[in-house]
Amino acid sequence: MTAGRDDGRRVVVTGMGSISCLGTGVDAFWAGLLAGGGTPAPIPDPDARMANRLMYLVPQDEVPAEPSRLAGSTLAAGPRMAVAAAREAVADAGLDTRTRARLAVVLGVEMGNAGWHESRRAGVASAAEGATWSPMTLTAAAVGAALGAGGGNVSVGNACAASGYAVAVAADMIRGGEADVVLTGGAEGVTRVGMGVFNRLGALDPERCRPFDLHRQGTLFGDGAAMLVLESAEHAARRGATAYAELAGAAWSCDAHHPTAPDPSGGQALRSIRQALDEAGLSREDIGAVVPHGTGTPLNDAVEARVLREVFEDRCDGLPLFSLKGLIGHTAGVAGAFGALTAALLVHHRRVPANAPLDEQDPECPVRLPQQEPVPLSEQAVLVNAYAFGGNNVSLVLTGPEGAP
Amino acid sequence: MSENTTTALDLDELRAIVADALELPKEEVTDEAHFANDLQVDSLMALEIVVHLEKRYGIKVAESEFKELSTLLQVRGLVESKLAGGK
Amino acid sequence: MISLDVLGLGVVLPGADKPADARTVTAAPAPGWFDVVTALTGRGYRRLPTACQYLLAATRSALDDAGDAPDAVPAERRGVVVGTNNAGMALMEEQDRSILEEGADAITPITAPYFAMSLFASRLAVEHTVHGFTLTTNSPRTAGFDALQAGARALARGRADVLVVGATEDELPRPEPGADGSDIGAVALVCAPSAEGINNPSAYGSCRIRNAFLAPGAAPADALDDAWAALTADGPLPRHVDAVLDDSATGRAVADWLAGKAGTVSITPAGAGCLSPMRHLVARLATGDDGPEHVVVTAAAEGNVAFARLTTLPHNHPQQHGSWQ
Repeated sequence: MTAGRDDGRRVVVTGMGSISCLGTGVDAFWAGLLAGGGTPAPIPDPDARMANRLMYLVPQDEVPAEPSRLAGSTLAAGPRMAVAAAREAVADAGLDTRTRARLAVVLGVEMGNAGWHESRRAGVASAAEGATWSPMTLTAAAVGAALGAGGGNVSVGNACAASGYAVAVAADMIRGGEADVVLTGGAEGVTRVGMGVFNRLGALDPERCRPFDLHRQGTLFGDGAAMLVLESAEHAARRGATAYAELAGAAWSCDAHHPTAPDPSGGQALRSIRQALDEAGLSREDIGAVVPHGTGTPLNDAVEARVLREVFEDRCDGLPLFSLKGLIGHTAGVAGAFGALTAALLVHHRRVPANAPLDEQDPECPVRLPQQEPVPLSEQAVLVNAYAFGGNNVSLVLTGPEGAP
Repeated sequence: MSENTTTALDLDELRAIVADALELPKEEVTDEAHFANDLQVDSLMALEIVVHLEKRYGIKVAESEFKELSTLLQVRGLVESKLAGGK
Repeated sequence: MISLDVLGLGVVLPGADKPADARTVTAAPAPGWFDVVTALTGRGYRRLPTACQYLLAATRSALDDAGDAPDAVPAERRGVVVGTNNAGMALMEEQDRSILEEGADAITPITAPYFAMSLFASRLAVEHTVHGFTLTTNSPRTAGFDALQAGARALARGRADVLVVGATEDELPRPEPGADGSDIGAVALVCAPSAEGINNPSAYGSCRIRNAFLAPGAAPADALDDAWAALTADGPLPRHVDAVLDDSATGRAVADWLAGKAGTVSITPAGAGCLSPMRHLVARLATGDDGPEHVVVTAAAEGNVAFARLTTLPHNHPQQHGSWQ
């Protein structure tokens, strides 16, 4: 059992930043969610020889052009978006220069600067004569350098759950007294290899990302960046900062079942939900909404729906899900952070935007997906799930900030 | 695309191809061993078998077609029908 | 700083058979230096990416070395943390080539998911039924030390009771800059939380990690001094510092800053990957020579810096065979 928020060090969210298919900045993100979300379009890469090229894309003219370099490496879109969203989050939190100098950075990074390596292979970019190693996973370093953040700088993988794990690690650092303020989140650009593999495995939907729909055939990716400043509640209070939400619980588990398919029993996914609730000191009655992992892949959605039913029982009928990937696509390594950021917004605004309309909900997925209009958040607590290839599960619970000192 | 001058399919060669894709000794891939239940073939391995078959016989197999098959004899049936001209 | 006890070590390295030799570098690995058929008996390994094979084999060796203790830990209390930078780069090169030349249908299915380097750790979790958690760390060059630190923190937070911490790399494919001299192989450590003031008789010793960030071109400032102070605050100054550094501005800045910090400082050139600092860490734990207190430090051109403080105990007896199953 993990020590939770009752042991003194509570963690709050004091700043956020984002870039997504809904545009630049968290305000654009929230407005975009309320307006019904984005639509997929073919990726512009002329070398992407594959049947399905659809993605929920950050508008081309909103992908930042800078910073373009880090040490000896040319930076592709992923790290550039990371820096932009990180700057927004740190400014939003109102961190002063001294705090910034001690800021720790923990990001979820899976493909990182893969965009540059893909350009090299396609002959669009080249390595200079005698060039030194250009690490693929340099995104967190790019953010640290741009912000002048001198605390620890770590990036974690875990595929589609990467930034969910990063958020949990950042919270653990604060609870353990290692740091007072940590920047966390993730960023990923378009990747030809990722798209190619998902084409090969038949894991993409031909039209859009439609989780829990009877006719879903797979997922569709989205690019972007989502960043959160996590801070000890005490530190935030001392400097008079306001918080969007409290990160009340975070739990991990591992299916250890199969490289790509979830454990159909959902046993481990169930365990991490329950543990996150326990850590937050909450029971199933206390949750007002769920931001599910919900990808649109037939197996994942059915297993997750069944697990949610098992956890919430009779409450499940009335408990609204906000199926985020139906609006911004599956942002892969960034999905966990986008989930946490969205949950913080739900709590902050006390509202759950409408879901993207389904043609027909899958009866094997008996969950509540309000589609007509936003619904009020009945309880100030939101559960977020992120599940990855290889069965890595993370569940987060975000609550209103009022409880924190 | 390989030029096929004969439609008679060598079952033993087929067995070797499937066994190699599954990293199993040929003897274990019996005519009627059930892929999922007896040989622990999962979705990724099934795709791997398909790739091997496509390369060797110059045919195209849709994932949905292969999903219906559970034994070596059934695989032979599918490959034979493809070679005989079925797309 | 949270401390980890190291209960078992395993290595799969060209030019080194055992953990004590892990610092030995073979200029170019002899072809066939690793044979998956003998290293990993059974089905389902031959087609895995080679860095995954190295990781699985090193872990088997570390678990054998750790004896019975890990067996007793239930699956939901086991954790895996793996550091890597380049484990999947050769595969990704091949996959992208296939897409560019023929299209996505030419991608080999069985290795396809391993474009996500986190799958390497996940495959390890499947192998040893690890339900507690699995985590991959991937910061340039410091990923192995970060894995130890993340693991220690997770244990302290109660997320698991025993860990396998690994680092694995494969050579970068030829067209990648830095391919020459890139890391190859894997190491694995079986770890448990250190008990305050108690020397675990089954342990090689303990390790504590501290990291910092030095933006490329910045002068080593408080960040490094603070990290060093925290690292050496309790206990005698280390007699020796192993520095695994490249000749980037960051590498040279750290090398200069290290002068005079301890009795002796040796600097080993670092290639691409996170494995070489881990090799030094493993070798120091396995031999305990040059005294019980050691620091290994490493850094990347991109600014990541990490320190490992090692306290070794005499470790004379080979452990009994055991496994996690």
